[in-house]
Order: sequence, then C-alpha cells, then structure tokens
Amino acid sequence: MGMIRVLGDIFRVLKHIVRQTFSRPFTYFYPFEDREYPERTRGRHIHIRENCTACGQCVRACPVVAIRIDKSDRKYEKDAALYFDYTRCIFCGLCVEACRFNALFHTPVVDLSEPSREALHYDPERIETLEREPLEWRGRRFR
Amino acid sequence: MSPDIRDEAVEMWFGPQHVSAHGWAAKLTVVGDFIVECDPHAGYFHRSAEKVLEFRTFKQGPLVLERMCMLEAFLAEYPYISAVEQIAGVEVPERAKVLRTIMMEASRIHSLQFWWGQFSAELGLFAMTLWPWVDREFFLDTFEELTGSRHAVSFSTPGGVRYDFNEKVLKKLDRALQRLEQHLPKFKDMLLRSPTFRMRTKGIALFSYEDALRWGLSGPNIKACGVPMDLRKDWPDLNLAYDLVDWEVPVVDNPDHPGQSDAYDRMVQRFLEVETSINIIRQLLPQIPEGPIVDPKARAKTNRLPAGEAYGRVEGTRGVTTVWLKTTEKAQTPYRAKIRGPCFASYYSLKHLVPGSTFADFIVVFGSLDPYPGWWDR
Amino acid sequence: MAPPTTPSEVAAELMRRHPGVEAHKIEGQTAELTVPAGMIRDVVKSVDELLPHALPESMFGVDLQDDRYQLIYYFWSHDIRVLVQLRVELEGEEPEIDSVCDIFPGLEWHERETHEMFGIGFRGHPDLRPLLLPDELVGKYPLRKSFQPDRRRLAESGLPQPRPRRQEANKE
Repeated sequence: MGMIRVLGDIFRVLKHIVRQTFSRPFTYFYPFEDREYPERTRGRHIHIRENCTACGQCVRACPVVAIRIDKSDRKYEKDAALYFDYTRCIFCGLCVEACRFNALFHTPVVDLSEPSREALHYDPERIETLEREPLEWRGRRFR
Repeated sequence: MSPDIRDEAVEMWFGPQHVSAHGWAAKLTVVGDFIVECDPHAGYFHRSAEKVLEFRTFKQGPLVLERMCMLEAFLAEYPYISAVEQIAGVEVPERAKVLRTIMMEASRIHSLQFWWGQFSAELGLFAMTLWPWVDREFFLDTFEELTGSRHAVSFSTPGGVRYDFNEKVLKKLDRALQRLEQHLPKFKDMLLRSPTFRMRTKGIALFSYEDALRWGLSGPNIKACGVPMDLRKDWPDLNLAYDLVDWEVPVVDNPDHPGQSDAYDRMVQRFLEVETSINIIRQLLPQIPEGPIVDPKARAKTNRLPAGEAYGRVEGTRGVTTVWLKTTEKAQTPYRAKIRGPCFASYYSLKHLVPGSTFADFIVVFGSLDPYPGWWDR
Repeated sequence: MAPPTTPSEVAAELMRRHPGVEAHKIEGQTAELTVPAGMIRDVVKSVDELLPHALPESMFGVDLQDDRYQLIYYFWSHDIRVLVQLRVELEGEEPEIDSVCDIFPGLEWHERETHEMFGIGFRGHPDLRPLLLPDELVGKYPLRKSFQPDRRRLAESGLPQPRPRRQEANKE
C-alpha cells in the first residue's frame, strides 16, 4: 500500500515539474511584451484637438491642478494649448468625465517613466500624440 | 510600576523602520521580556486630509477619502458621499444602490484577504501570506475591469456610481468569488488548525466588550466578543441595498471567555466576515435591476450644496467609519469635514492592551486589531 | 423608571437632569443636544449612565471664525440604536474646556488632536503632546480658518493661484 502511495506522490511531483517546465511563465517579458489592459484603464491622456473647444471644464474638474490651458498661446489658432503635468496627475478620470465634446480620453498607456521631472510636463503637441501602440483604441484611430 | 522596576526598564522603539511597522512607531518600555508601558506615536502618514477636503469640491472629495485606506477604497469613500447626499437630499437610482453594495462588500473581502496575509506574515506563516494574495489579485482585476484602476478606484460619486457593470466585470467577479469559495476551507484549515498559530494567538490580547467600547473599538474587534454590533443592520442607509439581502451579523462567541475576545477569535471572526460578504454578493448579483447608474439631476444638485450638516456612517472593514460634513450656503467646498477612521481607536487602545504582554507578542496584539496607518493619521 | 430607549427619551432625561441642556434636533436615530461648556463633564457622565454600552465614536472641533469654536461629541449605543450628539459652544482666543477622557478613555486622542489642530485647551488631560503634526506646525493650529496653507510649490510650478475665498459660517 505504502509503495503505491509513494509512487503516486512521485507521479504528482513529476506532473507538476513537467507542467511547470513546459507552461508559459506567469511573468511578462516586459519591455517587449505587455499585459492586456482593460478598456477602462485610466492611463495617460490623449487630447483630440479637432473636438476641443477650450471650454476649460477639465481644468476646473481637476482636483490636483494638473491641467493648464494657455489661452494666450497663438500657435494653436483654433484651440488653446493644453498642458498636462504628470508629476501631479492622480488619474482619477474626472477631466475625461467633465469633457462633453469627446476631446479628452484616457489611453491604456500607463508606463510614463522619464529620466527627469521636466519630461513629465507634457506639452500640447505631446499630449495629442501617442508615441507607440495602441494607436487604435475604443474604435477610434488616434494620431 | 514600582520604582525598583523602573530602574531595570529599557526604553526601545518599535518602528518606524521595522518591516511590520510601515508608517507607525511605538515607544515600548521593557523590563526583561515584558512590556510595561506602550506609547504609540502617530503622524508618520499624516496628509492633512481634513484641511485638503476644505479646498476640494464635493465631486473631488471622495478621491481624498479613498486614499485614506486603499485596501477598502470602495468603503472608505462612501461616508463622505453619504454625507453629501444627505445634505443635498438626493436618492440614487436603484441600480446604483445595488452596484455600490456589491462593490463595497467585494472591497471588504479584498481588504480582509490582505489582512490574513499580513497577519500571518507577522506570525511567520508565509504560505498563508502568499496564497490569499493570489486570490486577492482576482478581486483587483475585477476592480480594474470595472473602474480602470486597481486601487484608487473612485467608483461612487454623489448621485450614483461612475462605472457600470458589464459582462466582463460580472465574469471576473464571479471567477474571483468562485476561487475564494473554493479556497476558503483550505485557508481556514491552514491557519486555525495550525498548532503554531494557535499557540501564538490563543489568549493573547484578551479584552472584554465593555473595555473595548470605552477605548472606541468597533467592527470585527467587537463582534468577536459575541456582540452583533454592525452598522449595516443598525443604521439603515437609504442609498445602499442591504435590505434586499437576507443575512445575519456574524459573531464569534467563544465559550472559554464569554464577552471577551482574543487574537484567535478575531481571526475566526474575520473568516466569518468574508463568508457573510460572499453571501451578500451572491444574493445581490441576480438582483441587479436595469436602469441608469447615475441620476444627472441629483449629481448636478451636488455642485453647490445648501447650508447644512450631515453625518455619514458606514461599517468599514475595520469598524465604524464616519465623515461629518458642514457646508455653508451655496458653497462648492465643505466648511469642515471630519474623518473618523476606525483604526484611530485601535491604535490608541494599544496603550491599554500591550502592557503585560511579552515583546514577541507585541506584533500579534497590534496585528490582531487590523490597523491601517492611513486611518489614524489621515 | 425604565431606562430610556429612544432618542427623544434620552434627550428628555438629559434635559431633566441638567437644566441648561437644550435639544437642537431630534430626528430618526439621532438626538442633537447643545450643552453649556461648564457642564460637559456632568453631561458626559449622564450619557455614560443613560446609554447602555456607549461607544465614544468621535469628538472634534469646528472653527466658526471670529474666535468662536464648536466642539462636537458623538456617542453611539448599539443596545438601543441611539446616536447622541453633544455640541458645545466655546469663545475666546484659546478657549478651554474640561477633559472627559477619564470617563471615556477613547476620547483621549481625539482631545489631543483637537488641541493641536484648533488650540483648544483641555483641563485635566494627562498628555497634550502633539499627535499628528510635524514640529514646525506645532502651535500654528492648522485647522483654524485663519491658517494659511503653504503655497510655495504652487508658485514654483507656474500654475494659476486659486482665488482666496472666505466662507461665512452659517449663523443660526
């Protein structure tokens, strides 16, 4: 009896070893591969200039004063310039909720690491482009 | 303490660098192996939340509250919202009520799972630390699918909730619950029948119901004494859906010491809490009514509130969590907001509970109260 | 006489025992009472007797500006499901009141916090060291409305300054 139980144990151990050897690792090869983010992920924002009316609702909704609109900036003629400060942003989503013109969205890009603090102050050009995939998201193609 | 003992006494600090003391420190006066005096120090985590709330609008307020305790974010933000809704006099849609209740209970399960792991780690039972934390990941995935954030969820808002359930969320929540239901008996066996655990916790930090109430303890710490003190039953809330559910307040009544509880009882109590929460969610899931999740009129009403005062209370994972709110006429921000975190009392009661125990038991006494520094420092 | 079981009975009994205590509002499970500052110890002792197994839930200050302060005490009894709110009006630059932390030890730290945040003194409190504040803020009473928060970092960042706004406390 004991012999069979020991054999059974050995078999279970072997089963585990084989499964662990040939199964896919639970970790991701991060810079080359990323996990799947849900649709509602509150990552960095994207600003769609065509829709924006520069009403400033996002600025008013922001609890940490991370958004700034520069009304005097004439470089962007139709709309004012939108500056994002990601050293302050807490990704609460109130600005996206406050926007009634579909001009501001979250993207599933959450890795915002930069070499310096200044690089986290996104200027108007940077906030309307995504440097990399996913370009297409929520049935809408960005850039 | 007699003077000749005082001569032998050594003062030593527990924390703030100690691994178990993340964000707190206590000055212990030790004679030999016994602690004769405990002076808990607060303030390492102080973020001046009450002052910050005075500069935030009523929609932004819950964001501050949920950062008081990230483990129970759904529960932590609720008392503020409840107070705002009381002043505005609004009722949220039926669907929002049920969704809120489900997520609050899921948050309670998540917080308790974290605590099982943390407490076991403090006792040196690391298997029990990692196993519940694997199951906890499934709840975090549910939160992420629902709100887009794993910890800082900001789910409820005055007038309803911000995110709706969909098929994916329901599937993930169901999977998390199934996994926990499957593993719960195993966790119970692992801890409650483990001789190490029983030796470390039986008879440690024994206090009676009357004493604990005077120190201000509440929640599972009181329920473990055999008293069903629970705001979910005692304080009916218009904007929550506990009345749709048939449930009983779980209590532990240990025949060895009736009316008292030790660290072991509180562990058993927290297993029962999880079972109750699973029961509540399981009953509510088929009952989610159709309809809107937020009432735009009610939400608009909370932009500017009339003058008034309200007291929002909720039974948090760790006890009675309340927010007192005073507003002025047509104000966009509160005049004064007071947060009462349940752990303020737990941490204070160390002063009374610890003297007499050995130094090795100090962390058991502390951990058995399920304290979280964010709640006392605010 | 049977012990009181409803908020109105608790309030009536407290007012009978202590002339000077006034009922502010009695609604649902809550009884709100206004207590003169000198009587707080007697009233809290009565609350201890009247409410079976009272939980000292919360205690905090409110700055009503112009050197007027309110202290609010909350007691909850699970046995009869009654929440009692005691409200004390205080006046003066640094007002003082009797401490009740020997009756309910749970209020000791609440009083300590109120002392450092509002500058309200508690006579007979064993230990009024600062609880939460860092050393540089001790004695500045940050939860008073006259306290100016530190805006240095805001100016550095070049973001718009929030408009200063004075809210009037509602005068009832």
